[in-house]
Amino acid sequence: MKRKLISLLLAVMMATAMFPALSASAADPLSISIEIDGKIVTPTVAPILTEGGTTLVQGRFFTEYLGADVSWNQPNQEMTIKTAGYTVVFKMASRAYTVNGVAYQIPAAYDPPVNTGSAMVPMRFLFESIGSAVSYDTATKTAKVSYFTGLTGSIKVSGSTTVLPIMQSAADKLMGQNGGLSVTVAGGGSGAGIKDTQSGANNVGMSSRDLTADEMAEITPVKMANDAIAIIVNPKNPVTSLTTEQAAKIFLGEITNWTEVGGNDATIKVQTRETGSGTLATLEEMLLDRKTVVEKSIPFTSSALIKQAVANDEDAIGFDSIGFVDSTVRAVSLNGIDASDATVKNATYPLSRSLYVMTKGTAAGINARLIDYLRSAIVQQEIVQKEGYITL
Amino acid sequence: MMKKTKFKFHPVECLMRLGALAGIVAILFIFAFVFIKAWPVISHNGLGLLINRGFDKQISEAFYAPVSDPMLTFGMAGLIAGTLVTTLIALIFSGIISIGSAITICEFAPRPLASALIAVVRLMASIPSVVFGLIGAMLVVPFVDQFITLDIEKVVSEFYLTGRNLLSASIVLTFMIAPTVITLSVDALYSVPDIYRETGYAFGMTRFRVISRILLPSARPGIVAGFILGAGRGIGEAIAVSMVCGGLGMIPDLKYGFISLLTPVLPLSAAIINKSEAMSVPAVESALFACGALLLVLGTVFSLVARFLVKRFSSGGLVNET
Repeated sequence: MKRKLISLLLAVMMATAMFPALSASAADPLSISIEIDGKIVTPTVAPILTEGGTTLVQGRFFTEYLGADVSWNQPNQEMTIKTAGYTVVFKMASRAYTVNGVAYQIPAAYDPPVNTGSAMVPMRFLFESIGSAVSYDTATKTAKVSYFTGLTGSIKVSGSTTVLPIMQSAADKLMGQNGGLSVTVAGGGSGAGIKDTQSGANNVGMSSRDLTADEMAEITPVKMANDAIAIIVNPKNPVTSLTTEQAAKIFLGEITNWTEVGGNDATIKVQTRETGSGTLATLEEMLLDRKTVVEKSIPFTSSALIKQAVANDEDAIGFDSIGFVDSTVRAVSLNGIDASDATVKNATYPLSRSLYVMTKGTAAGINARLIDYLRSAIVQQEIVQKEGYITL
Repeated sequence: MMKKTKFKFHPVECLMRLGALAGIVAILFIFAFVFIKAWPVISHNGLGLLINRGFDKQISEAFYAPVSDPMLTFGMAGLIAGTLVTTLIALIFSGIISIGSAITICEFAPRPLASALIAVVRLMASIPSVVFGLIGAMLVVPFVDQFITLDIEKVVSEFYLTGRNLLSASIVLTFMIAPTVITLSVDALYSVPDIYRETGYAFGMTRFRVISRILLPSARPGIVAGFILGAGRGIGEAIAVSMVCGGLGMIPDLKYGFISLLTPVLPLSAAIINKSEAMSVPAVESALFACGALLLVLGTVFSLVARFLVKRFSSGGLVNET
């Protein structure tokens, strides 16, 4: 009898415990989760549920996650979101917003964006304004956004071989989550990529050089990563800095002994990469004025092998993408500037440059989505960084 | 018991014939495919392909050439020399090692040790070539490198002296070829009838004379077959060689004497691996297929010559072995 009573009591307790929990969670804004392309994304500022029942989310966090450029105008209290295909302006405490210059109005049933230290924008309009749809799953209290999924069609990409490895990996990943999407990536070099974009031979072009004003008239470039080449020597080598002129002469075979640049009396052994390497092409373009590396230099097939060769030979000099440099070799400073994330991002390091993707006119549809994907947190962290480039 | 009928459809037999046919068709297809792909470069250069040098620079020029004006001039003399010289040196090295090991295993080692040694040799033959390459890059390259002194460096100006060169490639190849040669030599030595040995000893011959005058001549066809298989592996080996060969298609210059062993080389097979990064350019692709075509031709010529040699040698031997 006593045992029955206890179990009954327990059952009642459990039942009552469940109901308040359910009703409380409906009122608690923190329990809404946002799922983008099947992955729960947690912003730095939690979503808010207003008294009017509108869900406001952190505008900057989510759009930057999707590869957008976000800028904030303090006096006007305006947030401008630029993706490859859309430019959207939300004004705080106002229902009016613009998409690509066209004015829109948030319906009166919803509350307007609000600045709580971070610009909070009605979730539905935030995602819809950049061309995506939001569905809400009441059972799991999850807002589902599909941005890099459900894409169909085909995209032709060509151009810079430096950008190609990032593009290829990103395209493979994107095609993996979009069965109906086909992205074909070809090289050809920046020049060919720009020409193809102008003529319409590709949908998206890749370039590792800045575009000229003439080219910019027709083409919209979007920066997608930074790249830099470090000149590496053995850590035991006393030479720690070179001028760009000295470095160029070494790789062209005009300076052949380390004494000429303040080192030991030893032959400079130039190590290079095999033809077809984007890093070699970059070096020849940026440092050697499109001349080729001295003919007797020893070619290697990968970044790792050239690094290993320099690490094992005191007289060797080589070059590598800055992302690959570690303590086994030393990156010399050029014109007194060390190669680092900061000097590459502000372009003071001589062998640094920006990598671009581009479309004819403003990007639209799946082309724009591909460009956003390249700029998104996923590709920047998982591909750009791992391939040895420097993130945006 | 099954009864054999002459003209009855036999599924298993049919399947075997089909398999054999498929093998032949596949080989023909490979030849055709490689030559079709290589044709632009072969037809453009003709015999010059075999005589001229400068492959490294030509690949780079072809890679940067505009699509409208592809550059198809290639000279592969350096690569052919690289292939032949590395294989030849490796054959000489492995010949010394292998015949010695085979005689030790068959004639000197006690039975348990001999079977243990054979097991080790067979195991060596099954090591993947990339492992040989790795060991070569980690051990052989620094080993060769330590012999390079400043004095030697001053002599040569055409290339850098590093541990990646002809000698390293040959040493690595030696250890890849040796297991094959040893295995076949051991089999050949074991197949020499005991009565030959006993006859030799009965005549009062020393052990050395029995080995050099009776055993080795009798086993010659098997040993030669081992060398042929080894040479085939040497010519075709790509990965391990490409990791230690130096990657420049230079022809060793005999005026440097022993230093010419330190010339960086680029055998045909290694060229295909090393230059494949540039293969997106059609001219480069065709050039690499031309390397492949040359390898096929070299291999075919080699096996034909070998066949001829085996026939000649075996007629002189005491035992006729197929």
